[in-house]
Amino acid sequence: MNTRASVQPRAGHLFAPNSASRVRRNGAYWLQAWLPKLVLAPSVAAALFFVYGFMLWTFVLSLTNSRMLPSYEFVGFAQYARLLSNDRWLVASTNLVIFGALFIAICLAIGIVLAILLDQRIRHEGAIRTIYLYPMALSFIVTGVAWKWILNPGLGIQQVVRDWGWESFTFDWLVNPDMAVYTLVIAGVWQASGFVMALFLAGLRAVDDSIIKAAQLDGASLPRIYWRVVLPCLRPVLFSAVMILAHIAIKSFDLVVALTGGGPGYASDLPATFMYDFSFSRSQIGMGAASAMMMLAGVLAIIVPYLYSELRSRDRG
Amino acid sequence: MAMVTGTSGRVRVIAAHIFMVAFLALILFPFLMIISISLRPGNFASGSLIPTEISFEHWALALGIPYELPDGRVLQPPFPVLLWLWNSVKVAFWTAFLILVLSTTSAYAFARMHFFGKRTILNSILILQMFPAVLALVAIYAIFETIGHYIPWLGINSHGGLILAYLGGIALHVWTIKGYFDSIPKEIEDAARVDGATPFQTFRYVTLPMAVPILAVVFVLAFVMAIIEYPVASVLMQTTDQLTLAVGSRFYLQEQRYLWGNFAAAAILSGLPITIVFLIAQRWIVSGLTAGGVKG
Repeated sequence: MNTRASVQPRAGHLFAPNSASRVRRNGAYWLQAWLPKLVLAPSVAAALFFVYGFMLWTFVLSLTNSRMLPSYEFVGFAQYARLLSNDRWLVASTNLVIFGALFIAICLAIGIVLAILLDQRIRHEGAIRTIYLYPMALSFIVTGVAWKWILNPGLGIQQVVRDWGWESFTFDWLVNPDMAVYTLVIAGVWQASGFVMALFLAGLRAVDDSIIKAAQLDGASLPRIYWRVVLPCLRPVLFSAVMILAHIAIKSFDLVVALTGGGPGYASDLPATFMYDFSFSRSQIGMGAASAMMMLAGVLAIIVPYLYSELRSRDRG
Repeated sequence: MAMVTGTSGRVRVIAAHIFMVAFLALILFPFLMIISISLRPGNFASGSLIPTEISFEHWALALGIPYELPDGRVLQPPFPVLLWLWNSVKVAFWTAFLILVLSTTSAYAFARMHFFGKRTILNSILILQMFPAVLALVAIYAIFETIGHYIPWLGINSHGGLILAYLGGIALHVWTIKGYFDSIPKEIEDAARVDGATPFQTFRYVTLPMAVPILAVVFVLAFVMAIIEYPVASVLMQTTDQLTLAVGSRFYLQEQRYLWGNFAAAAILSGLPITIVFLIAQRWIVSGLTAGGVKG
């Protein structure tokens, strides 16, 4: 950028360039025409390579009979057929639906409530906010292990309550095949709800005061103001929050590994752990790739319509 | 926007406080537990929350200092925790820095410049980021193995490769920063342009200084995500000396023997760099998120 040399900025002020820089001006116009492409090229290339490239490669692998190493012997959709008749895959995908729905819904609910409460002139708001935000800074491995300990029937809550004298108390979700997937929800919500709160708090602070004043003058009660006036203003925040939470839910892998290990048996498997297990532990790369593609298809089927309607309505509004 | 007006204000504030404190306890409990486990002698998970007997053996081992037990046996540190921590910080710093550079420039282009296919590219990168790296692990492994044959420092088991793999996650950040740029009035930049600034100067000296809060948020998010990332790092890093702490701390939890105490100490240590970055950037986080977020 040789044009930089002609201007000496001083603390944010700009000097008009002198007349000697006319030649450089031409360069500047050329730059203006090409700058978007130059600037975007590395990012778009990275996104294309890392996302489209990986997806495409995964798709190609899913059509082959790769086992331990990628091979290029094509077998058509045989891997998909095997996948769909695999019982463990069905459990994993059902679990993702349960986990994803509960995780997103509970995180949103807690996040909104916390944000509204924190917005009521709470003392030490900054400190409380930081503490709520902090679980996000732990790795899912650490979260998973901590909750594994808390939920362990022999060590955690169950044992503590029994020590208090309530002998028949049982809380064995971690080792109960029907309930194990809900322990993932608990740990996931603990980790992510603070972040959702920060998003909504930021959104609440940005809501125009005068709208609320107007509603108050019209005699609306406080819950009504929140429900009818404030929350609709937060729709863009809701959108970001859902996108981020959905992303976390889909990629939840380390949490499962640390908390339940997919067990008991494979009762709390998620597609991501299924994929990892089949690709790297069981040397079924082809089938692992097929499961990744199935998940991608599922994600697109749910996300794209939402995204589309959301962006559509914003273009109109 | 604090909405504490009207007569029922006091009651509501008290109720809000009670609820907040209760929730605070819920959030803090697992942290206290980890700290408590890390200070207990031996590798047992059971015991009371407040340790009856405090021992620094796990901390000594985590910091790489051999620890002598009362009965004369010397415990050697099982894993190079500090090296892993350094690896984590190094990878996370470079990842966050490169993500910041790439996503700021491209977000500016999306927010301010007009070119063919802008909307399509923007929407497609938002959909793309929903495809998590976990699902592409097989492809990531295969691609980096191939790259490694030609450029060893970008291949499997190199930190360069890991950073490169993490750079795929810029899409979300591009959207966040673009949302912020959209909220800066265009007139400010027009004024600079009238004064004769080139587009690059406008960007560098006018827009960029105004965007510091959101840049801080993006840096922190990228840093945190790189530190706590597990699946990609576990596939790409293979030798003990290259592991990041998130991957390495798993080694404490082998099927047969759970080194709870050592794990807890390492876990707290892994939170340290994030805590520091958090504390430095925390005043920008909420204000940055205010104007950021996904705005169409």
